[in-house]
Amino acid sequence: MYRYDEFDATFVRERVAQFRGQVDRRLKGELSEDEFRPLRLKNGLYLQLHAYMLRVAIPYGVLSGVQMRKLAFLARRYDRGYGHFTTRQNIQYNWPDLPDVPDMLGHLADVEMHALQTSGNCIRNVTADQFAGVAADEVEDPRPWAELIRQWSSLHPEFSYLPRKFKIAITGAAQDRAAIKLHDIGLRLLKNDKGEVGFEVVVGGGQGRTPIVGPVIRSFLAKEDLLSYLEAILRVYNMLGRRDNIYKARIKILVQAVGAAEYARLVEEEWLKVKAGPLGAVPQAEIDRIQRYFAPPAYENLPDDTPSLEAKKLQDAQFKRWYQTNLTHHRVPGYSIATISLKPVDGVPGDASADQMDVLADLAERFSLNEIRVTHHQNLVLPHVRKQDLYEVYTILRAHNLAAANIGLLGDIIACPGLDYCNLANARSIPVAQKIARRFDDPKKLAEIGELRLNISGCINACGHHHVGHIGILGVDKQGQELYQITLGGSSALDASVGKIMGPGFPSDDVPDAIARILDFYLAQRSDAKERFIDCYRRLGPDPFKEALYARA
Amino acid sequence: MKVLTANRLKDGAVVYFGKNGNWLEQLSEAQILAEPSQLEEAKKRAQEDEKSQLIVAAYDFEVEPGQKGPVALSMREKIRAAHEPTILYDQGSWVTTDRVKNVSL
Repeated sequence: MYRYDEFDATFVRERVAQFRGQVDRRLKGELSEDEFRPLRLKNGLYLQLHAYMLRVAIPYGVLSGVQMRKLAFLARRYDRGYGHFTTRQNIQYNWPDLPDVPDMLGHLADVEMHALQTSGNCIRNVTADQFAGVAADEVEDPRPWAELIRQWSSLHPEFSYLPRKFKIAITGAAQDRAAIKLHDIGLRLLKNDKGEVGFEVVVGGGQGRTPIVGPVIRSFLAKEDLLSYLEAILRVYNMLGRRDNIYKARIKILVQAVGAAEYARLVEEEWLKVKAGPLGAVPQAEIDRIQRYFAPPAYENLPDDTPSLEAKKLQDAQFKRWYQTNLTHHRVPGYSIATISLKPVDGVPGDASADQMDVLADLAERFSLNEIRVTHHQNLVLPHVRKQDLYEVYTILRAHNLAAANIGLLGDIIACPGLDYCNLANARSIPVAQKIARRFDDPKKLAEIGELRLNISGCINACGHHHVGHIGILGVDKQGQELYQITLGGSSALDASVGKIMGPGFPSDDVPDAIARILDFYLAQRSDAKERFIDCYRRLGPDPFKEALYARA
Repeated sequence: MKVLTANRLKDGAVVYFGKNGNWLEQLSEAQILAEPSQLEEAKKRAQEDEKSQLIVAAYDFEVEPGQKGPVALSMREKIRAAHEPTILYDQGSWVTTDRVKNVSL
């Protein structure tokens, strides 16, 4: 993985020292809150419902054991013993004290981490496919390009005061696990007819108040042109994006207003100027330098068949279930990709305790070639586990309540922190997630239902990505009461779609039954056991589902 | 009737404007600002206290009188008054608290 060079290390340390001075001046009254707020936001520090919240960047979701252990340390020493992994592959701490934050950032700098640009109107954490570099369906590893974009976008002088936040996602596989069509810029590595690898560029996707599936504005971009082309996209946005209304300031609004073809034309026009300037083509030496950090690790030469594993599956039914739900085929024989669910039935989606983080750090070091990743579904991934070690990994996970066998199933609920934590929320999302998880706490039922993405947001900002849930739930406030609207038919895959609101909302206690009615209808109507929920919905359309949802016994 | 609330600068904790003009953690001890003039006066004090690095982000919200002091009407203010999420991380596990329901003081 990427290691800081002297420039990076100095840069981050200087930023910590700078923020320490800013906090000091704030506490002494030399900076007002109006002056301090944009500065603390640029260092990822929010003021939330009960306390400050620090959002730490985990670039494209990748961590080493040492880094995970540091995150555990921060949770224990400066917070209340836990952290929350987010839908943008970051981690959030909910209870830091302002005077401690510079020290927290100093500790992060010790392990080559920071909280820069995790808030504010700038380019945020670049997210990527959590199976990058190891997925069998990958064309090329997106992580070196994510790192290149990170370096280009960090404190970019021209793009530090954008009209609004800016989110970039990148994937390198046939299956899009990074939701690129729902980002301000989405990038997909693919091969053209000549067999060359380049980028498909999507611009103007997004969720929130105005969910939009982003259009492709360029079907093939040569790799060396990546930064100059991104520069052109951002320049057009920076120039023409609205600044009069924060709800109309994202790039998706601009692309919709002028049209994708016109936006593409404006970018091409700007790009000519950028290419002629100092940015130009990324030097191959620089691409090579960064790619060397992501060279495949020293895999052993192992057979793919692992008889001991088969024996364990026969002996231990729970392990077999976990094996079937949580593992993904690795491109190297004898290895497996293990997804760790942070969605135990009575847990909080995406939360992990400091003790759990320490265990995960150990697992990464012992069993995953010192690497662990965060997914935008609020889970974690051990990307390089030898098949012969899977059972031992599983038993350790099970001992620490990390072995929920629900990846991609109904139990794998994605939920924002909601009104329990967030200043922007209208309703709570965590209790609803727990009620649904308890209602469907039956492995056989989960298996029967099959692949199901259920996303919950506590407000229209959609941090739970409810618009792209196969089932989405949006919490609203109706005359002081929390009510939950249900959407169906969303998807963040390459065939992305925005979910459709079914009708009036439900009180919290009624939501599990509402979900049950939808799923009972699906199970009765699906063409066969292999027809996924989302496919059944697309085949039948919303009307029969709506009728089932609002039917009363 | 209203109450003025803010976050403490140092730790972001929820506080309420009290009868003595200080900032208190318990909603039950907050001063009920029944008259517009009282609210205005409290807001002026809040502005000064923000300048003295005591608090940030002051605003007012609706309450009703309870047996032991003001009671929040909205779910948001009930949760803030409890100073905790309704799902609490406690000694290794996540537990549902009833603090929000019991916040009527």
